[in-house]
Amino acid sequence: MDLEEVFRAHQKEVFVYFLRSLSDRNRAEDLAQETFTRACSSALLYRGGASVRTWLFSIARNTLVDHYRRRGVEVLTEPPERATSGDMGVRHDVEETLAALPVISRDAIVLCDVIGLSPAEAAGACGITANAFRVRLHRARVQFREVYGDV
Amino acid sequence: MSESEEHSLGLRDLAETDAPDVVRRAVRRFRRRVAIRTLWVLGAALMAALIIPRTGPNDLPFRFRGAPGEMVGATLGHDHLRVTVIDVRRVDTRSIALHYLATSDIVQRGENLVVSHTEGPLNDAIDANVGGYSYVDQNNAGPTNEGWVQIDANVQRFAIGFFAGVGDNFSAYGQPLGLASGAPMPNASAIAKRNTVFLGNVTFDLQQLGVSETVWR
Repeated sequence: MDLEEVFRAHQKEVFVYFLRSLSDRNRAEDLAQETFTRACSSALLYRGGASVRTWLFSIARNTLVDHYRRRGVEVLTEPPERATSGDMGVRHDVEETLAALPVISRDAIVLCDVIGLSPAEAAGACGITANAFRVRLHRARVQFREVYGDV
Repeated sequence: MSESEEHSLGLRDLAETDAPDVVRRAVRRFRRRVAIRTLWVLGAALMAALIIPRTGPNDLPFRFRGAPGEMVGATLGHDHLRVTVIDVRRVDTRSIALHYLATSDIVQRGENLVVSHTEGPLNDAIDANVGGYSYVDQNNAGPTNEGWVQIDANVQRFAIGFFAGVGDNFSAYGQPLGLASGAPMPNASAIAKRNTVFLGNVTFDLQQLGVSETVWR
């Protein structure tokens, strides 16, 4: 199986990751393309330690973080222990709710609940332990429910 | 949020969408980047080779050719060693170079006439006022040696030692015959063992050679 075939097998979910993170189709296409270009560059460095999926999503996540940083968006703040909707309001719409969440919460939910990565795969992509990611995901889901109005 | 809650909210449905073929474009973009980067590297290397002047002793004849200086045409040496000074040039702000052609009639078959690469005075016989040279670039073919000697600017007098021996660039000379500058040459047939044979030092006095001070000071 050559590199292009491997990439193509994950093309859709990488695109969805950016689409649901940014709610902007054109931007999602650009960043997905950038992700695979970066993956071509670093393909030789891939040692096979993590799954291809985890490896690709770590590149995708870094691409997204770079994109946020260029726009001055804070990306590293963990969701609070007691998640509250605060200024996010109540949306009753899944897409709107997702777009309203803080970056790091939205990221966790998109990776696991939209795309279907396991917590272990998502943790690998985020560069944190599986336990730390589970905590992040739990808090993000609590926030989601509050904003969605499903409390 | 349990899996059933995810499903009821339709989060998984958000993954169902048409995806563009970004991989093909990405691979094409990657190949283009590699090609452009390669061209840049080759271009930079070519520019460097063309623009950046080569430095280092190996380029002395090259640097010499374009440098300002004077033709000399004087011949020095001993009975069996003749050194013609062709020209002297200022190769940079701190160095001058002398271009010579040397011949010897006692270099045997299979030997070459060479200049030692040792820096500074070659033996105690050299006049203390005579400076040493910093580098010599030479072409030798049997009894003929053409060379370019680089010395510091402001050095009026310096000496070069000539040898006959097998090989091109030997720096250690064999048992010297104890010759001082100006001493008579031994008869070549009297030399029992020919390993490398010291043929004598030749002293160059730039003032005596008529080279303008503007060149060598």
